[in-house]
Amino acid sequence: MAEIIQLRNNPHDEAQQLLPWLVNGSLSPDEAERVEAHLAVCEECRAEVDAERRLAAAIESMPINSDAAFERIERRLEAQPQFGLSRASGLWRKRVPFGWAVISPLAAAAAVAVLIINVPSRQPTEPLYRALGASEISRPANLVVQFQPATRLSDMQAALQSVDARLTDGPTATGAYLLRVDQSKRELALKRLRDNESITLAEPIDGPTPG
Amino acid sequence: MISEEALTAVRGKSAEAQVDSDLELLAKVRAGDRTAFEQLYRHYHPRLTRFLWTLVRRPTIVEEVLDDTMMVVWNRPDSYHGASKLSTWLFAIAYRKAMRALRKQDEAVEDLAADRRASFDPGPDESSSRGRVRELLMQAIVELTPAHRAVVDLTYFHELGYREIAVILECPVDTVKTRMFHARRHLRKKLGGSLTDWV
Repeated sequence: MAEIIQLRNNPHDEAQQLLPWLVNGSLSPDEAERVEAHLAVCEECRAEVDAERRLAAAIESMPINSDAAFERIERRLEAQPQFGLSRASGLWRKRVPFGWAVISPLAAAAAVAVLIINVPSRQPTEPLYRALGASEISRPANLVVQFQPATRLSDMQAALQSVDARLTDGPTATGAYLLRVDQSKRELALKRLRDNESITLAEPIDGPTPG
Repeated sequence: MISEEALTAVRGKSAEAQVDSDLELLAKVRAGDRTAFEQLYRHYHPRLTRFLWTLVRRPTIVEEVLDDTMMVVWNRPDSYHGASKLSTWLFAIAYRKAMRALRKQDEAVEDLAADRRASFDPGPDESSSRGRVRELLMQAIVELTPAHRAVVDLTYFHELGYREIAVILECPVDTVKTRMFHARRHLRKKLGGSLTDWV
């Protein structure tokens, strides 16, 4: 599509060019006055304004397409038995002090989706909805964290050691790690992890936990 | 989640008050206030999503570019010098990042049909003539170049002036006018008389 067209510098051509911005109300008072003065004497441009208003209204009424995409992903998450329903939607809706802002709800949900897929992948014959607290998994993860991409390994280790966390899985495709901390100290661990500038997301995983 | 109500509220808010609010929030972000950052994120998420969706038409890129754009606010708030509105600055960053992401893709094998499938998802009430017009319109918009789509979206949906659009797209104002002229001609040609009953 050509980038440049030459329009004669006359009121009609100027009006033709500026009509979209007359319609959206963003012209300067001088410009709006000039265009309207021309409209008063030009039937063609008046018809053009009418067509322009319809076009603008039609475009404005178009669906916000990303909404549909979000909802599709959300529906897929909700369709996941147990994990998807409780954890994904919890992470989706819950305000995470920093993680929510850094990782969009979609990305956060996707991260959880990856976790959901990855955890049972070691035992593909097992049903996805098997409880985390089942006997085969004696020490299930009860936290999920994500680090800033540039975080050094030593800082990651220090962050985990500061809350006595054990790594149980990860990194996943989205860079998330599953951690296990003493259940009674989990809230404190979460607070510390969230205060850590290297960590963009720290969330509890509320599966059944053994005593 | 994005809602029409949220967008209407965004557009309906006094532009002047919004500028003040943006600058106050940015000052807090500079001081490391994460709540202020979250407020900015929530405020701009719907608008940027809409803009980026029109521009790149791929959900994964929209999300990536949107978050990359907002991370500039958090990591480098001082790179905003106040020469324009914060919204203009943000749209400009998003536009540059989106165009870079698009260039990485092989435009030659762009599957326009897939774009339409991904972007227009008629609801149950969309079997009406309005639904058909929207579909025609979507097809016509997809046929425009990303640069033309950006001008169309910023003008018709975000209701920006051509000078502000020129700042966002980093091009002369005459280029904005010319792109709009071509885009309108294309859309009107594709829609024919189907907009007669609109509004």
